[in-house]
Amino acid sequence: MEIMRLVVTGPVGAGKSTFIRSVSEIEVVDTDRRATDEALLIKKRTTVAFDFGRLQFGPDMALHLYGTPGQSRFDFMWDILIQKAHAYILLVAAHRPHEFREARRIMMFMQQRSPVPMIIGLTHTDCPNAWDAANIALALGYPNPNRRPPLVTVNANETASVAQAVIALVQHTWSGSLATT
Amino acid sequence: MAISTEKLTHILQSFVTSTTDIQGAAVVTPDGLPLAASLPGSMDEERVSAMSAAMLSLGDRIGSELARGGIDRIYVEGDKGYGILTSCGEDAVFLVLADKAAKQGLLLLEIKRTLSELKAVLM
Amino acid sequence: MTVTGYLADFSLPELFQLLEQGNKTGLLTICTLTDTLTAERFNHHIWFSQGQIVAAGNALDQRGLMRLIAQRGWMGDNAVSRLAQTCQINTPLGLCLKNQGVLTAEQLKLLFYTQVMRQVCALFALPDGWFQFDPKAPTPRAEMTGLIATATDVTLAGLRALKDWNALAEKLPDPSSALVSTVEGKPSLRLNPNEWQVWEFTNGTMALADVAKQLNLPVAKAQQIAFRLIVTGLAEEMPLMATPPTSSANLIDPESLELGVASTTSSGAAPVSNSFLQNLVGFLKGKV
Repeated sequence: MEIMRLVVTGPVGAGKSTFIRSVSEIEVVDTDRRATDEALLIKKRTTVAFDFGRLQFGPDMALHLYGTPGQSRFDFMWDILIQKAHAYILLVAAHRPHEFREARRIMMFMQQRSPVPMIIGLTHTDCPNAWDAANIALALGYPNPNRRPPLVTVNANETASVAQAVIALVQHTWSGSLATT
Repeated sequence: MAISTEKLTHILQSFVTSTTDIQGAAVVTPDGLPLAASLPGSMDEERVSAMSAAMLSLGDRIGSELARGGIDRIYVEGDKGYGILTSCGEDAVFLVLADKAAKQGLLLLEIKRTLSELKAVLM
Repeated sequence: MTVTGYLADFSLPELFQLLEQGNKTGLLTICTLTDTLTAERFNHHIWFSQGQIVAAGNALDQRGLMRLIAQRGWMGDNAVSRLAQTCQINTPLGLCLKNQGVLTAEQLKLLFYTQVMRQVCALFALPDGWFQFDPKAPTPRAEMTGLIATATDVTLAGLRALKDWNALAEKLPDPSSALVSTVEGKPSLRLNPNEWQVWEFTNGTMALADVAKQLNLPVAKAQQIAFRLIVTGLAEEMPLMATPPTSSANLIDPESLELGVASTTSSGAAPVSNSFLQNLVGFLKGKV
């Protein structure tokens, strides 16, 4: 069995669990609990261990998707999940500039622990106060458009949109593997 | 009604001090925030809480997916001691850290007793 | 594209860093409620040109700089306006007056200090405010002295002078985080002694709380200095974990047994084949 493991990470409420639910073919293994912290302002339930989704696309080929919790108190889960990941996507809600710094912290955490390829997925881009991609890239610490991970827009509720984002991540991984071999 | 952290802390403190071989205890929310704790100095309350919640949620999941039913308790047995997680009603998780010398039967009895005290406060 | 938001969400130092790194030109307006009872609004304007601050003021009437000159008693309001009309359209007013011999270079510097440094630095203490950056706003020659300041310099000066850090409390790096340098070699900015001391620890391994202890600084002070290094683009916050990762990290992985042969190291993922990736992309394209 050949398996590729992708991690979906990002701050609270970026759409990680929704993302996985939209593309998984099995009923997603979730570990969400009623939120009692500041996450409650955004949503009712929050992931406390991880979400797990799967796509089986051949008799011996499968894609596994792991969603991390958003709060930094679960950073031990971030660490566990990133160790075995082939690549990851950082989801950032485009209309919550409040979270950009947190997204940056998560990214630093992941980059320090794993050199695997990553892309940035912008969610909630249709909200009235959403920032555009160029400015979010700046806020995430990428002033040079030629030297940053790929940025994609994704609607976590739509299977097609999520599939598109996963394609972008897989292709980015692919190009990386071609470059190094 | 507001949960009395003071009472919870008091129960935990007397549990930890009066029971031999118990090193620490905490009551946390299911999403991993501390409600009350009496832990060894080196342990971070917030971290312990988050880990407890993650563990119990995974245990729950194993219970349902692997047809083990509702989860009463999760044991982590290491060569230095035990970590025991017990569900404490809908809104709380009870974590007990005991050293290797602890007698399991006695430990469970103590946990059971303390659990009912905690539940009374949490109600 | 315009950028809007609240300072409580995206702080002024972060905003300045963004405008500087993005080489932005335009007008930043910060709207504050001076009195919550009367809901009286107050606007602050800061003009940027290619990421640098060129002017600041409280009004858009193009007469702010003239008023400042008049306040100094160097020249009457009317006299300045008359002279201004003779200035070339693209020349900053201050520079034009200097070229005409009406103002000295020293006076110009003083004007710029009053107009930009003092006014803008005061804004770092704002608890909140609505901001908007309009990249289409024209550069106001009549408000410009001709001098410029980098956003970084203004941020550094403003945050060094800041007494009340409440407004930024949530933005400060966590005491359990470390700093990691984002520049090669030593920073070219002029740092003060404390900043240099904290800078020495930007290797991503020591938590800020420990850095503070080592330097005999209050933790809050170390966090503030660290924040200055972060928003001036010298360092980045690196979250550390309380406990180092252990081999138990592998337990979570249900496939580690199957893949064990391929994966020789304890961490990291076994590589997948190109045909796998090809199949996967093909499969996903069917879902788009």
